[in-house]
Amino acid sequence: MKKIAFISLGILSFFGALGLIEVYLRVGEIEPPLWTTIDSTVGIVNIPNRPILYLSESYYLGATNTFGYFGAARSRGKRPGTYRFVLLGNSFVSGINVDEKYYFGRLMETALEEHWKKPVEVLNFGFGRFDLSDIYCYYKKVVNGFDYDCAVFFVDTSDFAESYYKNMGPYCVVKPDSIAIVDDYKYGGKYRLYDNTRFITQNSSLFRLVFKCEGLIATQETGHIILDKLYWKNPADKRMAGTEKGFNETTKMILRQLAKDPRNIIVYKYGVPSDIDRFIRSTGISVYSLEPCLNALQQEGIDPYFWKATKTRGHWNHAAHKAIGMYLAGQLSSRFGDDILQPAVRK
Amino acid sequence: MPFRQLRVFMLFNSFVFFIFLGIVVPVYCVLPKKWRMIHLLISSYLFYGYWDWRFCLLLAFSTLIDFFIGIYLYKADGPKLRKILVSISLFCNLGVLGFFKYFNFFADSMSVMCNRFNIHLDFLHVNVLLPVGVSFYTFQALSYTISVYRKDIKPVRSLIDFSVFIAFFPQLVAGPMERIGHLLPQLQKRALPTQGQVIHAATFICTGLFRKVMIGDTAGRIVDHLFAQPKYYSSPELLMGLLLFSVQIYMDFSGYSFIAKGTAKFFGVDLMDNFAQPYFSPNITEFWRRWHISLSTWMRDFIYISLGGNRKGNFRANVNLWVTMLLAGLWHGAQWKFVFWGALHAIYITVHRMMLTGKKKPERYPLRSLKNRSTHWLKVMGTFMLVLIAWLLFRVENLDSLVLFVNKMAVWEGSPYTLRIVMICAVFIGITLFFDWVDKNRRRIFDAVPPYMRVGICVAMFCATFAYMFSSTPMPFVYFQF
Repeated sequence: MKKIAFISLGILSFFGALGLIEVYLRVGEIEPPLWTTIDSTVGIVNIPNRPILYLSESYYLGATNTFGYFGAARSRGKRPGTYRFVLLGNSFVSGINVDEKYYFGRLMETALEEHWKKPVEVLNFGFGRFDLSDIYCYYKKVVNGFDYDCAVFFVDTSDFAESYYKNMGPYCVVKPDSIAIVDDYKYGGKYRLYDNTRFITQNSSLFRLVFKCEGLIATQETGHIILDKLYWKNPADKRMAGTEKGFNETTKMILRQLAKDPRNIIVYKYGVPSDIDRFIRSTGISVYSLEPCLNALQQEGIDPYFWKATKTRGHWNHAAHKAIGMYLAGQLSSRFGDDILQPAVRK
Repeated sequence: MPFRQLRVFMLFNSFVFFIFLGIVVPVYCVLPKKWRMIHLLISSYLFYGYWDWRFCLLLAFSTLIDFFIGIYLYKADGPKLRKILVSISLFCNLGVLGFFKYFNFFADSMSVMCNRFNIHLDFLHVNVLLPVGVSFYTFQALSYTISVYRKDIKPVRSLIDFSVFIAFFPQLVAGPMERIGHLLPQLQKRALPTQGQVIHAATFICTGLFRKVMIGDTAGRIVDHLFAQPKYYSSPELLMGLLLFSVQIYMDFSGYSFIAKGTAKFFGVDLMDNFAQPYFSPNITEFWRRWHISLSTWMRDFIYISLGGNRKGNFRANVNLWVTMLLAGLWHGAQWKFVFWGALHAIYITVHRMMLTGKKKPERYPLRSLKNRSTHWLKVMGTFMLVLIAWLLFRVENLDSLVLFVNKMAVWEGSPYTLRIVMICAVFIGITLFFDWVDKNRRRIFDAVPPYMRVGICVAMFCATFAYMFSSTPMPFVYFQF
C-alpha cells in the first residue's frame, strides 16, 4: 500500500513538473503553441491574433492579425481609391524571418504609395510549406473572400511538385476543362483525431515539441540525430527525392486557371527551367522574375539567402527583402502606371 | 527547414554523448580495479578524438611535457635548474596556447598597426583551428608544474594516472580546472560509485541538462540573432538580448559544470563547484568569488599571488589586480573586447577596494534586520547591473554594434510587443534565480523531497529536455570557444 502511494506520488510529481515546464515554455515563448489550425473546409489556416516568436535562420517576434494573416489587419472589403495587392506563396512570401517593417511587401507598399500618391495595401497571404496546389486552394477558399486589384503568385520549380510535408487539407483534382478542389480529408480518421484533441494539441507547448519530434521521425532523421556523425546514411537523399516529381497535369491546369483572371500575375522567386517558363507564358498570364534582382545583389557581394546569426542559408534575408520590395515596386508601378488612375480591371 | 548540421564535438547535450556514457560507465564498473585507469584514459581520448583525432596528439604532448618536467623538478636541486625546467613547461604550454589561440590576434593587431605606415604584414595570419578546451587543460597542466616547482606537492609517478588527471573527459573541454591534490587522489582510488553518488549523478546531469538545453540554449537562440544584426531590432528587444545573454552564459556554463560534476560522480569522483549563485553577489569582489571559481582561484593563486598579491602595498596590489584581470579577459578569447571586459571588471574591483578602505568589517549576519536586508538586495541589483554592462562588452561582435546598441538605448525605439518582451525576460530571469535558489538549498531540498517525487520531477525534466534536444539543432557550449 505504501509503495502504491509512493509510486502515485512519483507519477503526480512527473505530471506536476511537466505542467510547470509547459508554463515555462509557453509564458517564456520558448516553444509557443502552434499558430496554425486545420479548418474543416479550408485546411491549414493561421489562428487570428496569435502571438508568434519564431526562430529559424532568424528571429521574429510578432503576431497574426484579426483575419489570421501577417501584417496590419485589413478587412475583406477595401476603401474606395485604394489599390490592393495580395501576395501568395510559401514561407518566402509569408516572410516571418524579418520584422514587419523590413518585409518586402511592406516596403513595396510604401514605395508604391510614394510613387502613385494614393493609398496602396499589400496583404500577405504567404504560408509556410505551401506548394502550388496548396496556394491555389488557399487562394480559392480564403483570398477570394477579400477584395483586391492584383494577386501576385510567387512560385519556383519546387512549388510545382507536391510538397514533401503534406498537411491535412484540400487538394486539386483535374477535370476535363477545369480543376476541382476536394476536401474529403475532413472525413478521415486523422482529421477526426485532430479535431477531438484540437484544444490540447493547439494550445500546448509540450505537444508542439512532441509534434516536432514526430515530424523529424517521419522524415527519417532519427538515426542522424541520435548517432550524429556516426550515422552512415545521408538524410538529404530521401528529402530531395520528394521535390522532384515534376511539372504534372494538375500544375498545368492550375496555371491555366490562374491565367483566366487578368488580375493575377506570377513572380518567379528564382528562375525556372525554360520549358516550364514557355508553358507559363503561353497561358497568357503576366510573368515577372526576381532573378535579375537577386543576381544584382549577389554581384554586390550580398548573399540574399545568408543569415549572419546562424551562419546558414535559408529564406530571403533583410537585404533581399529590401531589394525585392523595391524591385517589385518598380516593376508593378510601370505595369499599372496608367491603369492605376482608373478602376482596375475587374473579374 | 535546413538540415541538421553535424556536431563537431561530442557535446554533453547530444545523444551520442549519452550513448558514450552508457557504454563507458558500465564497462568501468565491471572492469577489474587495475584496468579502470587505462579504461578512463582510453575513453577520455576517444571523447576528445571524436572531434579530430589529431588534437589528441596535442593533448598527449602537453601531458608528457608536464609529467616529465614534474619528475625532473622534484629531483633537481639547484634553483637555477628548477627555474629552467619550469620555464620549459611554461614555454611549451603557453607556446601551444599562444600559437593556437593568440598568434592571429597579435599578428592581426600588428598588421593593422603597420598598415598605417604602409607596411603590409597580412601574410602573418595563419589559418589554424582552435583546439577545443586547450585553455582549460593547459592551465590545469600548468597548475601542476607550478605547484611542484613551489614544492606544494610531490610529482605524480604514474604516467597513466597523470594522463587521466589531464584528460579526464567530464572536465576536459570546459573545466572545472581541477588541482591535482583534489582530483588525482579520487581518481587513484578507482572506486565504484556509491548508491548516493549515482543518485546525485543522475540529479546533477538532469538539472545540468535542463539548465543548458532548456534555459541556456533557448535564451542563446534569441541572443545570437539580436546581437548578430542589432540594427534590425528595437530597443526593448536589444535590452532583452543583453538580459538573456546574462542568463545564457550563466546557465550554459553552470549547466555544463553540473553535467561534468554528475558524470564524474559515476566514476566516484567529486569535482569542485564552479559557481555559487554569482548573480546573488552583493558586490563585484564577491561576484568573482562565485563566478567560474576554478578560473578565478587559478588566476588568484598562480598570477595575482605570484606577482606579489597584497603584500607590497596598495598601489602594487592594484597593479597586480589589473594584470590578473586583463589576463583573465584575454583568457576568454583572442579579441580586444575580452581585454576591455577584463579591464572594466578591474575598474569595478579597484573602485570597490577604494570604497572599502577605512571601513569597518561587515556584519557577520547582515540579513537580520529589514533595513540591512533591503540594502543587501539593492547591492545585489547594483552588482548585477554592473555585471550586465560588462556582459555587453563581452557579447557585442564589434565596435559598430556596441555603438549601435548604446545609441538604441539612449534614443529609445519602442516595440509594439514590449509587454511580451518584459514577460519573456521575467520568465528567464525568474527560472534562473529559482534554479540558483534550489542549488543553494539543494541539500535541504534533497532531504525534504521524497525519493519518488525526485524521480518523477527528474524524469519529467529529462523527457522535456530530450524532446527539445531531438527537435532542435544543439548549440555548443559558450565556453568551448575559450
